[in-house]
Amino acid sequence: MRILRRRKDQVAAVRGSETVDSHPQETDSGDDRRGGSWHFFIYVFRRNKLAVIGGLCLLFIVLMGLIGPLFTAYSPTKSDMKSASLPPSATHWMGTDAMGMDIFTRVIYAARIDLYIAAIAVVLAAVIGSVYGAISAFYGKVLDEVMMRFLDSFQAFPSILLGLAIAAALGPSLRNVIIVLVVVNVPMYARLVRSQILYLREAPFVDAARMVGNSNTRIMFRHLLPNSLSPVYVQASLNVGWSVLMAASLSFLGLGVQAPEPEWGLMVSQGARQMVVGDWWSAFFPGLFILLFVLSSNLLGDGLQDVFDPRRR
Amino acid sequence: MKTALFILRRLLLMIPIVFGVLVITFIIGRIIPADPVALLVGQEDDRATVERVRQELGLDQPLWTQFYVYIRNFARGDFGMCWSTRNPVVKDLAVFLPATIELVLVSMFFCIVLAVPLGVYAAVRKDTLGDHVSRVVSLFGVAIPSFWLGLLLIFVFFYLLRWAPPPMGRIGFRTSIDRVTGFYLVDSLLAGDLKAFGQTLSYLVLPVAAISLRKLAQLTRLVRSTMIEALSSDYIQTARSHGLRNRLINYRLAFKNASLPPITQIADMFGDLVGGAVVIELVFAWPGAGRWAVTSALAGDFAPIQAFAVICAVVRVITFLITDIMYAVIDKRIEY
Repeated sequence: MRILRRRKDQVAAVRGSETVDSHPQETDSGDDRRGGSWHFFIYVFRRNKLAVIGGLCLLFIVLMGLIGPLFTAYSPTKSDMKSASLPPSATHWMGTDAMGMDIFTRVIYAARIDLYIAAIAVVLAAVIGSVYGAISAFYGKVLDEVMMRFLDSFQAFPSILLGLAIAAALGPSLRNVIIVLVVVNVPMYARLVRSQILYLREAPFVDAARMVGNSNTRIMFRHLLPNSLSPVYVQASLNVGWSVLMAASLSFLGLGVQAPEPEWGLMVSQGARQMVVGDWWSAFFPGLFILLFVLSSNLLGDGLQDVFDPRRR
Repeated sequence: MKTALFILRRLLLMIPIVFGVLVITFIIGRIIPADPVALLVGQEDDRATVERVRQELGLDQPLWTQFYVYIRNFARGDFGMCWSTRNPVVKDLAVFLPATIELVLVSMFFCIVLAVPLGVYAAVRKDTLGDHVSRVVSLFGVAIPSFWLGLLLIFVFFYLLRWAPPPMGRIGFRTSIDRVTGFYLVDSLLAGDLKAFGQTLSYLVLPVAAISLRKLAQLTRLVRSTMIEALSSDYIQTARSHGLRNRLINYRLAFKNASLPPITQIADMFGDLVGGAVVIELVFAWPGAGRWAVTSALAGDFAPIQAFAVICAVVRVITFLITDIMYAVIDKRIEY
């Protein structure tokens, strides 16, 4: 078994990710190794200050969604026509919209919804896609061909159009936005994991595992899949921002989250008409938060990519 | 000969993909909605009407027959009816599609013309101020929601500065252009009407800017990174030591070899922009196919978005084929 583990580490080294073990429970000298990778983590992030800024900014938005409601006295969904379309002031930090709802409050509650959508959608897509790709790669030949052509067909659609078609068929709702995002994202993860496994399948540690009597299924889920996950983490972190952008676009078009729920894209669309008459704030602030969120999660994702794949630095 | 065989094989490979595209849209359109009839006739109609509509749509047939009819109709160019405009989908597409394609092509032109020199510049001046500025712009360009950018542009250039025309369509109410191709830039030139041409351009500026920033950012980054790689290779060093001019080295030698990944991205761009245009068309009330498909879908009418999605997918499959062939033409090392 020692040979086996060394092989594995070498394979990881070839892929340039030896310092970050994707499944620490399998290394017996776990503690000092994890310490090592932690130092490496800090080292990389010190070199990549933008990623740190992105991470902090992301943390701020998450915290805002979690405890932000404590800082506001207004309801996110109750309209108050007496104070409609007020510009930003001391009482309404980001002004109010045409329905008299406090935009700051709605932006905070929207952070909850958007983060929820993105997190669930990305995790589901990554899991389903990884399993799909793993099956396709491992069982190969005809099944692989059919499964991959099927993905080709999905990816032939411009992603927003596929999303629109599914959203239109399912009807607009929060749950359906998540389904749309999962369907649109699965092919990417499937391809990623498939190519990783095709590469790893030839590695000697797989032969060794087979020789000591592991079944195909066990080799697949205990050896191949865990070893091919680090690019999936990177992809997922880069995918979160894109998913929020897509969810916001769907809601903006009226095919996503429905009023009066607070959602950033929906809020921009509600403020769109005010923009032409000069009330800039009701569309400006929710859009600004989409931008901030996507920007910071992209920065963090780029940083993670550097950690997991030093060749791309 | 080899290349011909390769093209033939790629053409054959298109068939299962296009078939898959049709299967997917069929599944989305016929199986997912609980009851397409209810979507069409509404809740309050009586049972007889529902039954009649069901038969008219062929929904009483088994699924296989429905799928066969679906594919046969598509092959004949029959995409069904758009109930909200009461026209056949094909007729509506002929009206709305040119508006979208004009927007997308102008955006692509704008992207390529700006991104290539910017990317080359950032690569040649790596780690200087210009490079850093281009990096920051790219980071923002990828993260900014295009519909929001569109609204900001409207606010600044229409509301505050009054430079841009109102965000309401392709041309002013009082101007009319004889419809020949549906591309107003072409049609106005055909009519020799330079004023209308200028006005069309002025209506294009803001939506084009809003759509293309994201693609511009991505393409600039890609050109930069492939250029850096090409510039560090040996043959460039040799060319430099022979005293060739920088301009020649950058564009004729390095960029030619760095151009393959950007070409793939440009091929992708068409489909992405057509998709992205949907959102911008709504912001600028642009009478394009995306806006038509979305407004129909919101009214419970599925045929337009189905047809639009299928057409875009097929166009994309064809552009991928063309890119593959272009690869073979540009990079002589690739053999098939």
